[in-house]
Amino acid sequence: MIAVLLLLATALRPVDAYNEGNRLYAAKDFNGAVSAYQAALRGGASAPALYNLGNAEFKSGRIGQAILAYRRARYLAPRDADIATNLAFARAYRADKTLGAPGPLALALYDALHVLSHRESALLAAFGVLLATLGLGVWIVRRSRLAVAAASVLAVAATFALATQLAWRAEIDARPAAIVVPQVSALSGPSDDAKEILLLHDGSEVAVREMRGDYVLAQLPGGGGGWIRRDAIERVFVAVPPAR
Amino acid sequence: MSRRAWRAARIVPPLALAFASAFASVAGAAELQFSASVDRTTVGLGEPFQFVLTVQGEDMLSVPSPVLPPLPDVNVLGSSSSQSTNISIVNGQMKRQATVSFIYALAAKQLGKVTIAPCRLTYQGREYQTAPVEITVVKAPQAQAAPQPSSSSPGLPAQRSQLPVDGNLTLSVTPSRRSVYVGEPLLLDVSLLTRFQISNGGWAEVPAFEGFWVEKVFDAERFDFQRRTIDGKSFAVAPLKKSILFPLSPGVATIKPMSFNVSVAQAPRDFFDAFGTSQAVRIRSKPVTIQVLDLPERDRPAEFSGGVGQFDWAANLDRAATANGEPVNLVVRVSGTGNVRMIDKPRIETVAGLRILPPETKDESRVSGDVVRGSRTFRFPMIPQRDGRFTVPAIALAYFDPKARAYRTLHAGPFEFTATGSNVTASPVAEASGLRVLGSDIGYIKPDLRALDTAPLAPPFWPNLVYLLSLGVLGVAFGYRGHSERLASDRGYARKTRSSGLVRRRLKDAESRLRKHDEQGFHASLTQAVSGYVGDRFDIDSHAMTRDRLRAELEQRAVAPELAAELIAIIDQCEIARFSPGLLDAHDPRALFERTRDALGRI
Repeated sequence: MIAVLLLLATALRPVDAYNEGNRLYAAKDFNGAVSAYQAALRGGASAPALYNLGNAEFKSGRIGQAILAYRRARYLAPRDADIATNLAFARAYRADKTLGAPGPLALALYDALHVLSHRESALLAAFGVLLATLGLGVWIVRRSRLAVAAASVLAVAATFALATQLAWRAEIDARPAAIVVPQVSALSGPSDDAKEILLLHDGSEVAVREMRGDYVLAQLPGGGGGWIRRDAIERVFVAVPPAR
Repeated sequence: MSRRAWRAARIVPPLALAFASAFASVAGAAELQFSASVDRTTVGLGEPFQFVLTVQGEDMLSVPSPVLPPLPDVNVLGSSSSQSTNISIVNGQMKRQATVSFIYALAAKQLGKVTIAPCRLTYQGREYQTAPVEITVVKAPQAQAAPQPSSSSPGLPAQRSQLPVDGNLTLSVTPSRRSVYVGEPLLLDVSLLTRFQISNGGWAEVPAFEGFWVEKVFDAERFDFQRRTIDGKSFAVAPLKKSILFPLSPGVATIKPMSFNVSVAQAPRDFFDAFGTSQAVRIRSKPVTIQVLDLPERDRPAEFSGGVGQFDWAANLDRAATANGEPVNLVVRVSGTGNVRMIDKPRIETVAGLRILPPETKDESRVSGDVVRGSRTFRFPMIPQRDGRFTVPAIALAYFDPKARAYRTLHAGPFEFTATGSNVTASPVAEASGLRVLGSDIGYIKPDLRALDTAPLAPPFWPNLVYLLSLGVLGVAFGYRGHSERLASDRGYARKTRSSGLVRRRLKDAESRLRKHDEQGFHASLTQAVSGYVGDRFDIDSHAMTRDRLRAELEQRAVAPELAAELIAIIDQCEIARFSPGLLDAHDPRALFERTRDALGRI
């Protein structure tokens, strides 16, 4: 089966691999579906493929991998309600609950600044600034009220897009990651003989603060954390490089 | 004690008595105290123990050996004696208190109560008698006789090597039992028994204990010898290793021989070998077979999870209510004696809307004698997926009790708790419409696609160039605004700015008139083009100027004299052509037009 999937992965076009993943998923071969979706994603990131990959990972019992896939899918398609729902569902299945969860105001602000994807916000911000500048230019030359009104609206839109872009940038710079093993001990230092201070489970979301040798310093949303083996964690936006 | 030691001991009583008789010349007859004792009252069958007859008296003369009664239930392994004298002076008078002990090494021959009948002693015509002594003989060996203070390697006891190794240096492997059930623990004791002086040692071969799961209890880092009498011989015994073995499968399991290297101190060979030498000896244990009995198939409960021993348990939830999807933990603690670490988790029935995670397991165990006591705790996190009251069905766990040779089943539960504010709840629509929510699941996968739109995760770079373009637009707008304002306020700038366009139009008009052979019009347009352009270009009123004045103005504005002369010549030629055409001999309007365009282009 694995050999067949590998063959499919190399022979099929991404869309064919994606559709093959759907077929395997429907047949409840979730591990096979994971391999097929991963093959589809070799051609580039795709929100539907990442979403379906998250589903297959979830059904295979890998909550952390599912959360990673959903977060990547949401990065591409933040307004997709299915992605948001399944991400929330997978998070509810974690053994570790999030400490220091944001309040309703912070959540509303977060949602507002993630209506657009990073790509959309970059494009809208750029063209918004350009059009607003053109409107401003017309007003400068012609002193047209209509032009200044249009420039104002466009400037607001561009500012919103810029804020969204900055929010995404901040999220990427925070180096979010998820635990991808059933459970792992967070240690007080980056060595095997360091004291165990926390027990983290599959799907716990952390931020990678530092890397040393075979360990990364993972910080929980509430502020706590510890040193975790590299192979127990995977970053959302960039895979943690393997240990040398 | 060795035979040699016992032979030496036999000559001690007469010497002791002779020593005691030395006081007899100065002392008269005195009252004696005659008593009997044993070093312990419970002994193992065949195990040596001490029986001591003590004679104590003041100014005691030579004391004969006491007479032992018939001892049908014990063997006399040997005897020795010792004596002590205490001299004191009271009121100028010397007193001597002498004590003579007759020590017998005995070993019981039968189980149960054994009575040593009274012993008799006749002294100076008077007969003394001890009280009978009763001991209890049990099957298992009891504490060893008269342990000596422990000593670390090198060199405790015995003697330098003059004895054969066989029988005097042994690696003893002793299981606590020879017949056990699968999973039932047994203690394996590995000790070094020696009658030599041992300087150091180390393992040469330790088997992997195939067929057993092993838990280490003790591994000696140095020799810690104790004296023990075995079969009438005194040995120094040092424990080397203790392990708990859990048989994994039924049948005859064999513990393979182990090998241990020791250095045995040798006796000095001559005067120059004052400290002697040592000899390396490898000793090997005998294989030990264990009969492992299979657990009975009959009446084996479905809840049996591998436990063999005697266990109890406690199971409860760590909270009765939870909110916001926080997990509730079902904590199951199994404790008792036996293979507690081999007990598998109890099975929990699934509950709709409740996710039960695999448990975390925590073990605690310790060894007491040959019994393993401990506990195993399972912590099942249970995460509610909806609000409401949850009931986790009762759980059960069965184990095998080897003493009763029967299975026992433990029961606990059911367990109830309430969940509120769970993250994944029924939709408001479902709640409002009164629909019954049966469960929840992730949304289904996206459908098949004809084309898969892919994009890199990172946004493109080119929008950043648009920001530069925006700056350019802004610059152009400000520039244009400034240009417009200068056009309105600066006449010279406005004339200069417009001059190029005007001259192009006038030249075009002149050319048009030339094509229509309208020479008057052509020369008028050409004159206007030259005068207008020069005037606009240099912001002067060229039409109203004389030729000299125009030449001076042009030279003042750094126009080359040749070019100024050419421009004036063109104007002159145009005026002659307009007003005095007869003065021109060979006039070529086309050449004049080209000259004019060239001259204007050079300004």
